[in-house]
Order: sequence, then C-alpha cells, then structure tokens
Amino acid sequence: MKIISLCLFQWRGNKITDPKLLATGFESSSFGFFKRKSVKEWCEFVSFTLAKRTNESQRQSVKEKDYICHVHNRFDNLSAVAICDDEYPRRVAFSLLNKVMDDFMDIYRNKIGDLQEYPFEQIVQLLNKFQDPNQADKLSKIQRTLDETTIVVQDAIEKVLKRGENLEILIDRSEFLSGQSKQFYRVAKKHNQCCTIC
Amino acid sequence: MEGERIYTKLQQIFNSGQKIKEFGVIFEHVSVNSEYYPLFFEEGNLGVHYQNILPLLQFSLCLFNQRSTLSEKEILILTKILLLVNPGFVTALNKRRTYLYNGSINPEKELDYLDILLARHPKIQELWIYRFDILEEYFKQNKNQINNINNKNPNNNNNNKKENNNVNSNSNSSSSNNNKEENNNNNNKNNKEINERLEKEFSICSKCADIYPRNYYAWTYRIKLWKHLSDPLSLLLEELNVTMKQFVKKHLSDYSALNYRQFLLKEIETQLKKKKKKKKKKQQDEILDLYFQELLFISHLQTNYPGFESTWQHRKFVLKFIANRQKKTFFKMDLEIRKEWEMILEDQVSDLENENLLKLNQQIRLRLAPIYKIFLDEFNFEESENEQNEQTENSEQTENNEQTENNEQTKNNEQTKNNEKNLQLLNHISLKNCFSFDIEMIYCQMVLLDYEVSNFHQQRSCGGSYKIWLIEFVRNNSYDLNLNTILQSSIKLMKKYDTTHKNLWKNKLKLIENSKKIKKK
Repeated sequence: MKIISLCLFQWRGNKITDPKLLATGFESSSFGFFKRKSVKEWCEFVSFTLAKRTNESQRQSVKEKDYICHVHNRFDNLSAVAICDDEYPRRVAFSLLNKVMDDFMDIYRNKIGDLQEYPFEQIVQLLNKFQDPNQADKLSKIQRTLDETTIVVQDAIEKVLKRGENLEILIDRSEFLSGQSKQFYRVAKKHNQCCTIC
Repeated sequence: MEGERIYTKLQQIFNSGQKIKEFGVIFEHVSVNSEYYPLFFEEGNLGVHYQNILPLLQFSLCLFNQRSTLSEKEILILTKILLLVNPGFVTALNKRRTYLYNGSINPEKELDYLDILLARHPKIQELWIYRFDILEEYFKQNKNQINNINNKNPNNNNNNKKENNNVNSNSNSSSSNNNKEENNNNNNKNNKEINERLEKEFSICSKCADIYPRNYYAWTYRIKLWKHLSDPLSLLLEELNVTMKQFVKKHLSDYSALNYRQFLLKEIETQLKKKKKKKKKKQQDEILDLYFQELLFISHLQTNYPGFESTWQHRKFVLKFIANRQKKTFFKMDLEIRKEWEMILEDQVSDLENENLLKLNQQIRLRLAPIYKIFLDEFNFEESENEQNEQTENSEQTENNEQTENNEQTKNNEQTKNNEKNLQLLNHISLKNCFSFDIEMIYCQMVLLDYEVSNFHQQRSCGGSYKIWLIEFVRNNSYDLNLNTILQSSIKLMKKYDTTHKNLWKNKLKLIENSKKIKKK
C-alpha cells in the first residue's frame, strides 16, 4: 500500500498549451539503483499525459498494470496526479490530491503566472506522511462522501488518449523521458512481444 | 571478442574484493575514459550494457562447457559471473554447492553474493534452496569453531551453541569460574552472531516479499529459519506484535503474510506448552488471549481498509480456533442479540431506503465500537487508559459546575454524559467476555451495510461469503436447524451483491432446498 509519485501541474485547460510541471515528489526506496531514474521519468511522463487528458473539474482513476494513477483537474487551473499501487484506497488518494493543491495555493495564492519557479518542498513531506493512509485520513474517515463530482475509472492509459494517438509516438516526442528510458521501453516491448498471457 | 573483454573486466572487479551491492542492466553507454569501461561500477552498483549481455553469456557458457580443463579458482569466478547474468542456471549453482561443502567457499560471503541475485530475481526456487544449504553450512562451521575453542579448556563443557539463547540459564558443571566466564563469553559472541545473521535473513525475506507479493519461497524460508533457534519465545512474540503487524499493514492483499502470522501463533502455542512451569489452564488462557488480540487486530484492519479478501480468510482461521476452544460460550444463543441481527437481515433483504440504512449502519457501528475497539474517532472514544481516567475526572468536575450554573451549557452536559457513557463502555466491555456467534453475525451485517451505504463501491463484498461460511459452520456444529432459513436469506443477499459468482449462490440455494426435501422424505 504505497504512493510512488506525486506531481503538481499548472494548466489552463485550453488544450493549446501543455501543462506546466510545478513540483514532484518521488518515493524511490522500493526500486533498485538502476531503475530509479527511469521510473521517475516514466511517472512524470504518465502524470503529464493524464493531466493533459482530463477535462476541467474532473477526476479520473486510470489503471496501468500494477499501478493506479489518480488525477484531479481542479477549477483553479491546478492539476495534481498521484501514482499509487492498487491497494491504496481511492478516497484517501483524492483527499491527498486536494490537500496538495490547497497547500500550494496557501503559499502562492496570488502569484501564479508571475514567477518562473515555485519551490514547493511540502510535496515530499506530504508524500511521506500519506504512505500510511490510516494516520493521515482521520478527517475523511468521518466524511464518507466527497463532493458531488464523480470519479471516472479507466482500465488502461490507451483509453485516455485521443483517436489516432499512439502511446509510442507520445513517448518518442516526450521531453520528460531521457534517451535511456526510451531505449528501455523499446527493448522491453520487443522482448515481451512473445508473451501473450497478459 | 566482446564477451571475453567484458568477462575479464568482471573478473577484475570480483578479484579486487570490492563489495558489490547491486547488479543491473543499463541502457546508456559508459564513457571510454571511465575506469571500468565497458562496465559501470560506482559505489557498489555494477551495471552491464544490455547489448553486452548476450556476448558475455555466450562466452561464459562456452567456457563452462570446458570446465573439466579449468582450475578450481577459475571455475569459481566463472560460475559467479554466469549466475549473475542467469541465476536460474542450476548446473552452475550445484557446482558452487560442491565447492561450499568442500570448504573453498566462505558461507558468509556467499550469502552476501546471493543477496545481489535475490534482489533481482526474488522468486527463483533453486536460489532459496541453495541459500538454506549455505546457512546450515555457516552454522555448522561456527559450531565447530566453538567446540574447538572449548576443547582447548581442561573442563570439557558440552556447550551446544544451539541450546543457549539465555546465557543465564546455562547449566555448566564446571568447577573453575574462569572457564565458565570464557565459555560464557564465547556463547555470548556466538549468540550475537546467530541473532545478527538471523536478523539479516529476516530482512532479506521481507525485502523479497516486498518486491514480489505472495512470494511462497521467501515465506517458507522464513518459517524454516525458526528451527535454528532453541528458545525463541520472546523473539516470536516480538515478530508477531511488531514486525509482522507493520508488514501486514503495508501489504494487505498479501495472504502469505497473514499465513505466516498463523504459523507464528501455532509456534507460540507449541513453545508455551514446552514450558511446564505454568498450569494448563493459565497456558490455555494466554494462548486464547493472543487469538483475541489477533481478532481485534484483524477487525481494525478490515474496518479501515475494506475490500481485502485475505483479511477475511485470516479471520476464518482465528475464529475456528476460538470457536473450538470456547465451545460453550461461542455456540450459546443470545436471544436479544439474535433478534437484532435477524431484523437487520430482513431489512437488508427487503431493500430499505438509503437514509434508513445509514441510521442502521450508525447504530451497529456504535454498538460494535467498544467491543472491537474500532471507529474510535467517530464516537469520541479515547484509546489510552491515562487519557480515559483524566477525561472521567474532568467530565465529573464539569458536571458539578454546571449544576450550579444556568442551563446554557446543557449541550456540553449531554456531550460529557455521552463521553462518560462511551468511556465506561470502553472500560467494561472486553471482546473475550461477550464474544459469541451472534456478536460475530452483527459484525458481518455491518460490513454488508457499509457496502450498501458507501458511494464508492470500491469495497467488494468479501464479508458476505465469510458470513455464509460462518452460518454453515455454526449450523453444522450446534445442530441449530433454525439457521436454515437465515442461510437462505443470506445467500439471496449475496446473489444481489456478488454478481460475478451468481451461479455459485444459485447452486448453494439448490443444495439447501434439496436437503430439506430429503429430510422431509
């Protein structure tokens, strides 16, 4: 039951400009030394794609193999993405996303768009605190329902993409992934093509 | 040529004696100027480019086929490199095993080497078997060392290293105190070494179970480790209450972890029975206490994180044990409580509106909270005993003050009264005293009501199949035939919630109806 990464984007939802990455937190201790860098890049890439593909004031939960990505695109131009494993309770994940965006707004309420960089160290602290959903969730245990917007649940990333878009093309064009990660994806896909079980 | 170059570089690194923490495959070329080109080696992390792995493997396999011509040292390095790339190669592994029994391989270093392999491939059976063999060899060699040191002393005390974890209970028949001290020192060192080594083994098991959930080999290895301890009771209890609780909370869908907890409980029981100091009744009470604590722990997990089938399977195990030990109290019918849950069952089946279900849900939760010590935040219960005592004192004082003042504080009065009531309940009710089949049924009804009431439906109806098992279990053990109709209505409920297994519930209903017909005949 763990959260792997937490990303915060600024996005006007107009679909012309891309979401801008404001802060990330990443939990690297469960990955080996050689995998850490590419997993972190992969998380940022997936978060970016999902943030771009959720409409304004919408929540989504997208499943990708063993992990589930929770996205919340809020009305105030902020968008947050959390990538967790499939045990982590969904309600807690969304309350975490709310908290991240609230805390960020507390600091930078009037200055969004003015500054170039927005250092936000609390994101890492929140990531560590919410690793144990029980401790951090005392308030939302009593509130058993969130506000009325429902959560859209998707089975795979491919369903979030538009028609004609391909995950491979997106990967090639992405700025988030280094050459190493792209190469890793290509090789892994090639080797796993023979496996038709899953 | 490429393979040979990489092979020689790897050989260099292994021979230099530097410690390797991790091995991995890299996708970027290392710069030509770096020390270990074409390998990557920094701070104990060894990396080979993915395009170099196949040539390396081909070269080393070729060498391996000519192993009859090679010297022992060369074969050792060869198998080390070969297993790094392909840990499932059993022939190489067996070759290393022969050298282990030969004495050419140091068991401790071999264990460290296996750590690297297991971090990448935690689920290869042969590696775990090999690890167990190395561990046995390590303990054998240690024992021989100790015996050699002891044999040098004139008083030959048979200090079997396996026997003493508590050195104070060491029954030496030695005459001189000096020799006793020496032997004690040796035993102390030895016990420290054993405990340190076992701690490392436990941590490797946890790490591998973390990487690959429900890792059968890691858990069975962990169970085997307990054979090497002779007085493990305190360690067992620590493992049960501290390390395993943390692990289970992080990996709720890992049933193997809960299965390991079941093993720990059984093992504690056998260890307690060995100690013949206490009377039988007290021992049985202690063991029962443990199982009740386990029930509290699992209920806490189930209410906070609903929807995990593994917790319900574990609950079955705990409940069977308690039911078999407390037959009189468990199967005894409590009419009031029975009417309560029968009513709730009828309401559920008849499809109440959401508001009424919410009220019902709240009522049941309030009822169960002090028994199972769950939902403590919702109803303002305080967990720690000191806080409880302070609160009762404060609430009494406030009550006295308010009697002299006006009715403006009637609200506070009610709140403090409620708090007092709640605290009294928390203090007086213990699960052990009131536990029975009827209380357990209320718990199951609550779970299904939760499923009905919550909007997210992330919770699956796992508690439902547990409930049906429970009713059948009690019906078969106490011949309470009234439970037949209740069983039928429960199965109908399950048909409604568990749409994936509709056929299962249909068949169960048919079985009950057929059994009725047979009895009539």
